[in-house]
Amino acid sequence: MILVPVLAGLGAALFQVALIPAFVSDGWAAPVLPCAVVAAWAASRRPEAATLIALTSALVLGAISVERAGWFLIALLPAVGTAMLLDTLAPAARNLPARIVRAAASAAVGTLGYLATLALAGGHLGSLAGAVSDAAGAAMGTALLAVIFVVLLGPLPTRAPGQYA
Amino acid sequence: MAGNRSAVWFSGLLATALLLLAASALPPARPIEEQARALLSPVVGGLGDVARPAANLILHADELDQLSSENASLRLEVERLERDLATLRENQTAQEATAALFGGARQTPDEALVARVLVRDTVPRQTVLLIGRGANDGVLVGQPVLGPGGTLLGTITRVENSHAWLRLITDEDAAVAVLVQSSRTPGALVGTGADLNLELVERGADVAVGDILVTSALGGRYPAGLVAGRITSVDSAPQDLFETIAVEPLSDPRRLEQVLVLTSFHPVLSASTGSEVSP
Repeated sequence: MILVPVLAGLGAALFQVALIPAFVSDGWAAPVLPCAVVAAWAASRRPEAATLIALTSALVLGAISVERAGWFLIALLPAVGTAMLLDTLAPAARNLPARIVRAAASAAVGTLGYLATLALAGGHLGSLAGAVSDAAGAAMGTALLAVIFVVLLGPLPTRAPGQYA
Repeated sequence: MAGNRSAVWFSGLLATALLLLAASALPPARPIEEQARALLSPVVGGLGDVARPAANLILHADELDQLSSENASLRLEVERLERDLATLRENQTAQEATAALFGGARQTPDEALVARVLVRDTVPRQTVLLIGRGANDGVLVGQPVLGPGGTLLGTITRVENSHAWLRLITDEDAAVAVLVQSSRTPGALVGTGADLNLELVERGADVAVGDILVTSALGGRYPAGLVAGRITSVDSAPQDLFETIAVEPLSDPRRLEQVLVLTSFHPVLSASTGSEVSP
């Protein structure tokens, strides 16, 4: 069942490009849907499955951006990495509140990592310092979206280690 | 155990990212990217068409009263401008008749191509739009792109067969030679990411809030006379050599659906800029 995370990644990237700019014009302040979906999926299922979401999202984002797909994948790594770290630190905590906390944390850290990586790739790392409050807002917005996705994914059972997707 | 498994997955993803970065620099990557863009951009454009009206309704619901009063005053303004335009047309006809008498050549009218805005890049500080016209339609790197009302929006920076990338004048790397329309004071219009600044205008120059800026032909990158922005504030400290002038762009890129590429204009380009055209 690798199709579901692939579709989730595809949808997240397409909605990120098509919907988010219509609502938030400042790139620093915009929530990052792929980070939210990666974080929510990692918290609700297995973090390994979220790697496929990150890969699909990065390929789509790279295809419709001046930035390369490889940079987008590196930008999504903090979200995946944080989700994996939290899963390793507390593997037994799988109830809904624990999933919400994990998803929110991964999404927030992931968003800051995403923005910093793309700023670095575009040579605008200096301007990130002047946009810290916007970036914090983006992180909170992404965390909120991740929490909503976790609640929506709530009925799905979590996967045991070794099971995919 | 779970930690080891995660580490393997994470390392695999990092390796894939580095591989993708390396592969994207190779020549075969370009047509693949272009095909992917051709496939995905209509989907993104369609989703954007659905999202834009909804976003406008949600974001500007509280401005409805203000918008109706603005609409009423704009109608009056349009009536006044139509009268002015009629007078100008009369003057132009008279000028053309005079030029014909003296054997003067008529100026070729500008040719422009309507292009649909497909994607707005979401990368922070990348004020770049993907439009649905490319080399097949005669679009070239460096051609100016106009927004609603014929205002200067940006420049074509990269051309593919059926698409082109447009960098807005608000981009941090963009600079346009302009004149203050009323006083003919020259300056450099520089992007700040979201807005514009007018630079290199000496203290005490004849500039005021509300003045319109038009492009200058200086440098050969733009035709003269394109409306580029409106001055919103003029400020300077006694020790400053130049005025600090804030300028607002006259088009909101977030609401753009179509743009005009000025295909009749052939800019003077540096070798590095020209190389961005894909075959």
